[in-house]
Amino acid sequence: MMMTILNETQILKRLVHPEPEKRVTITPLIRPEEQFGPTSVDLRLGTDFQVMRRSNVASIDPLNASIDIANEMEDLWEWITIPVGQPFVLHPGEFALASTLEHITLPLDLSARLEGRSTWGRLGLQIHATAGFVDPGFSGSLTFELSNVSMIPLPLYPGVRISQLCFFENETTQLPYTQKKFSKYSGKASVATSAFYKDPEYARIRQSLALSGK
Amino acid sequence: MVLSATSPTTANVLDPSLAVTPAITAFSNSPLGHWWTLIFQQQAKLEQALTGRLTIKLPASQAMKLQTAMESSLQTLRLQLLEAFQACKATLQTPSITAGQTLTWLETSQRHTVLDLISQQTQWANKLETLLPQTKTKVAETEQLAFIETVLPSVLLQPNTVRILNSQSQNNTAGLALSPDISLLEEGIHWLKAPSPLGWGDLLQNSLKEVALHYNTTFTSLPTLPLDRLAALLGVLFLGANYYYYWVNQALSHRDVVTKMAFWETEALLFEALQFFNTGSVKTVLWHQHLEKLKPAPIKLPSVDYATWLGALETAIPSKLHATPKQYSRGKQLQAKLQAGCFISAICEDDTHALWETLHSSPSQPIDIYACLQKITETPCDIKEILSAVWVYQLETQVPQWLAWMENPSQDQWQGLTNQLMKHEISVLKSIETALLHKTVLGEEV
Repeated sequence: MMMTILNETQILKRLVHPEPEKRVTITPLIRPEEQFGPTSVDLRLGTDFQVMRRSNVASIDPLNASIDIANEMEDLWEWITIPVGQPFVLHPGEFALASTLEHITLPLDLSARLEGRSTWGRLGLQIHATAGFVDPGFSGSLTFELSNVSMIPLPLYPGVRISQLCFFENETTQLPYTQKKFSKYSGKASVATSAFYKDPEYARIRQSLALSGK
Repeated sequence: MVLSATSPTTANVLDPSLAVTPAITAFSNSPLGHWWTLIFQQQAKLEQALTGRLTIKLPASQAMKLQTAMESSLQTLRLQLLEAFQACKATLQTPSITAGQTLTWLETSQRHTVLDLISQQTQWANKLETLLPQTKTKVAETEQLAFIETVLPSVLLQPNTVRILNSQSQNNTAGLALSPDISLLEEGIHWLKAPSPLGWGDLLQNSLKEVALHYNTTFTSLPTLPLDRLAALLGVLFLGANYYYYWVNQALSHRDVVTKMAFWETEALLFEALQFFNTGSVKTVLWHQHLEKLKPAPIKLPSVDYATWLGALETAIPSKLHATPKQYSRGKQLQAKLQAGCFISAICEDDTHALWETLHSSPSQPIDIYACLQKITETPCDIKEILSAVWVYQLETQVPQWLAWMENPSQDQWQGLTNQLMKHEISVLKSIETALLHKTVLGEEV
């Protein structure tokens, strides 16, 4: 099968597909006529944000015990919830995590890519650093890695459309994201910080060092 | 840290299954024994707290993460201690062993774990104390007020609304004054128990009692009803079958409820009210019949003329506040989303199956895409519908599991059930917030 990008009618069909295993879920769909493009659906900004605190932590060593790193990460990131009608102001050069307002579910024969909207790109807003790919079978809110590369602060109101999601057909995967070993971000209802230290490589490196007496 | 050796601990508090021997009594009254007792008590409190009462004063996933991390670290230590305790029970019950020997053995073998536990709890207390003031309140009271106003005639509650909310918020914040000392162990984990959207039932009960008080004093010609009975009738009028489900759900979460006559009387009354207002459903009838079979004896309702009361309330309370079949059916529709793990903030009112048929039957025909998109537009739900969806879902799907667990408790099943509850808490919290934002984006009044 050639990997093709779905057009608006194909996306619409997937949203109302009677078979749950073929259906795409995007909820809430507030104004689809505004959100749909020829090959994409716009997604909105949610209310939860996380920003990195200034701290005296030199680095987070993934070879430390997981619980310690989890605590360090907890201390490093600050949660901010923006009340409805107020903006989160992203200053020039600043980086923050946020999430989609929508909850997304993908079937096993579709993957997706999260992209910024040009409207916001022209203002200097980047919505992800490098991780815009969504695996088949994903379910949850998507996390934005927001950064402002312009010279002026950007007020971001929860509920505005800042991104778009494109869908690609693939052969049905035998390894959906929810069942993938070591998947870390499925089912999240809000912003998810990096769980890099849960990658199994680190456990193996720790074990190797312990065996070698280092 | 000062440990009181004179605290009123007894061996049977330490572990009811343990026979009292001089060694155990001496041990129980020792500082270490005091800790053991606290750990047993804490275990019970933690289990209570685990029924899914997450704080709404922290962003949802933050609270979830904190809770998970805290529970897993504390739970591991507690289990280690309890296992060690079980292992040494036989030794403790040997008459020949002296109190001093027991104490020495326990202190040398388990001191490290006990100290770890204390240090972990202190760390968590410190962490919470730092985090909570930094976290912006998610206007819990505003949400609670909005919730009440969607359910009850707020005019009857004012000026008492503020008092009800304040009493509620005092309960909420009782646990925020955590200090990193023994009080954390003694007081339990209040912040976990702070009412969350699913726990706003207490708020609802308090408010219903206020309204009941109002009508008890207004309808002087009618016989005075006990407030809780009148509140139950009002609950059915305002929330319909949802209230019945909610009430039974809450009641069944107390293990000993089935032995209490008040439970059976109120259940019968609620069912009668459902029939009177015609807001029951097939499921409520099935539940009622199921419960009837469990009754210890036939219930005869007190000889108050409830029909007169129900008629008077139906007339006095504006019809726009009555429960409607639409709210119930929307709540039911939301359950499919809840089951799929999605937010339940909005619902599509159009028949998407018909749209699928149209799109599928004539794939080569050009379609009016904007007309089709209109049909998948979702409308925001109100708080009453969101909460109703979860109450009904929990009763229909989870109460049988809870009852089964009570018959045959297992740690794994307990974990599964509490995880489900927590998941619903998060879903409800996010859904209420998302529905509010949805209305704002549409330019509607929030």
